[in-house]
Parts: sequence; C-alpha cells; structure tokens
Amino acid sequence: HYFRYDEHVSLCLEKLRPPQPPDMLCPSQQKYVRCSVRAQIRHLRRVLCHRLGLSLQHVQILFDNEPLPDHMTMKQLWLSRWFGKPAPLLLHYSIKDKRR
Amino acid sequence: GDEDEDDFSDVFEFEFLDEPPLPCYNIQVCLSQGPRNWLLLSDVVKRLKMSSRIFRCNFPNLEVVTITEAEFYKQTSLSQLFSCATDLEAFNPESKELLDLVEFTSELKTLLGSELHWLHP
Repeated sequence: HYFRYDEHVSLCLEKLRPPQPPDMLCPSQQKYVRCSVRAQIRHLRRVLCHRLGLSLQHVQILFDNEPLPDHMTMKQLWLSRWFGKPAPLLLHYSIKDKRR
Repeated sequence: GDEDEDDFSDVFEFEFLDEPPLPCYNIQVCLSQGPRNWLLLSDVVKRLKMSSRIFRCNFPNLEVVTITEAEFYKQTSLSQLFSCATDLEAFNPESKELLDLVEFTSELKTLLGSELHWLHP
C-alpha cells in the first residue's frame, strides 16, 4: 500500500450554507483538499471531523446536495461525477445538530 | 530523509490548502521505478515567488528531473483525471522542449503552505 505514489485528486470543500448557524469551529479558511484517489469518503469525513473537533456522525459530505456513500473512493467520485471537468472537484459538507 | 517518509507510505496523506492546489502529475520518469507524483518546477517557483536557481540551491534535497514536453503530455493525457481539455491546453504534445519536474514530497507540500493530516486506512 504505497498511497504516496497514487494519483491524487484536488477537491474544493465548501460548507453547506444556511439554515446552519455561522461556524465558529472551523479553525481556518482552508478549503482545498488533496488526497490519494484510493482514499474514501469515510476517510475524508474522519479527517474533516478531526479538524472541526466534531464527532463522526455530525459531518456529512455531499455532492450536488446528495450525501455520498462512505465507501466511495475519490476515483469513483471523480469518474462518476466530474469526468471531463477541470480540477478541483467541488464538494460540500454539512454539520448536523451539535448536541452531544 | 527517505526512511522517515517510508513510514508514511501506508497511510493516507490529506493536504489542506488555502489556495487552489497546483496540478500534480503522476509520471514514470525512468523504467527502474514506477510512477510517482511531481509538480512542474515552473509552477512551484511561481507560487513561492522564487527563481528556479534559488529554489534548487535552497532545497537541494528535493529531487528535480527533466522530461520532454511530449513525453509529459503523453503520460498525463492517459490519466482519467486529466480528461478536461483546459487542464492540458498549455502543453504541446509534439514539443521536444524539456520540462523540470520536482518530486511532490511532504516537505514540498509543507513548503507550499499546506497542512498535512495522516490517516491509517
């Protein structure tokens, strides 16, 4: 498993706007992500949750308002939703109710 | 060094950036090793606002290789991730000009201002 030599995808990750309250948790404005084509949505969710200080069930990743399945790889995502389009691929994330 | 990097080879590396990422090209530069990831040196020095000469002096440990533009085009255009014409329009498929590529290591990512996260699959 030498992921470091894999092809990489470039993503633009935007927070899904209202009705959610302004986000005080986001540590920075960084919104571009790059990772291996073999990474899966669940891996991206885990990394994002870590950055946002949230638990896994609170963050969802969406394409075109549709939640993406956890086991989808970045390659599958790119080929099925973004083939022929320029990098980066635009994704959204949403944060569910933060009650713990 | 290389050994430290090998420890990270079996983990996913996620790179978080403020700016749109520079294009990264998966290219096999010689027959004795498989494809690896490279950035165009010209892209890197432009973003760092540095000359190629200063870059190579300051970061001698970052591997720079040379490839013909035609070979670069041939390999890149085979990738399904470069199916968009605009991502390749700057390159001439027949050109014998030489392009400098710099290996896309964690060190280079950090140098370009990315924050790195590692994740065990």
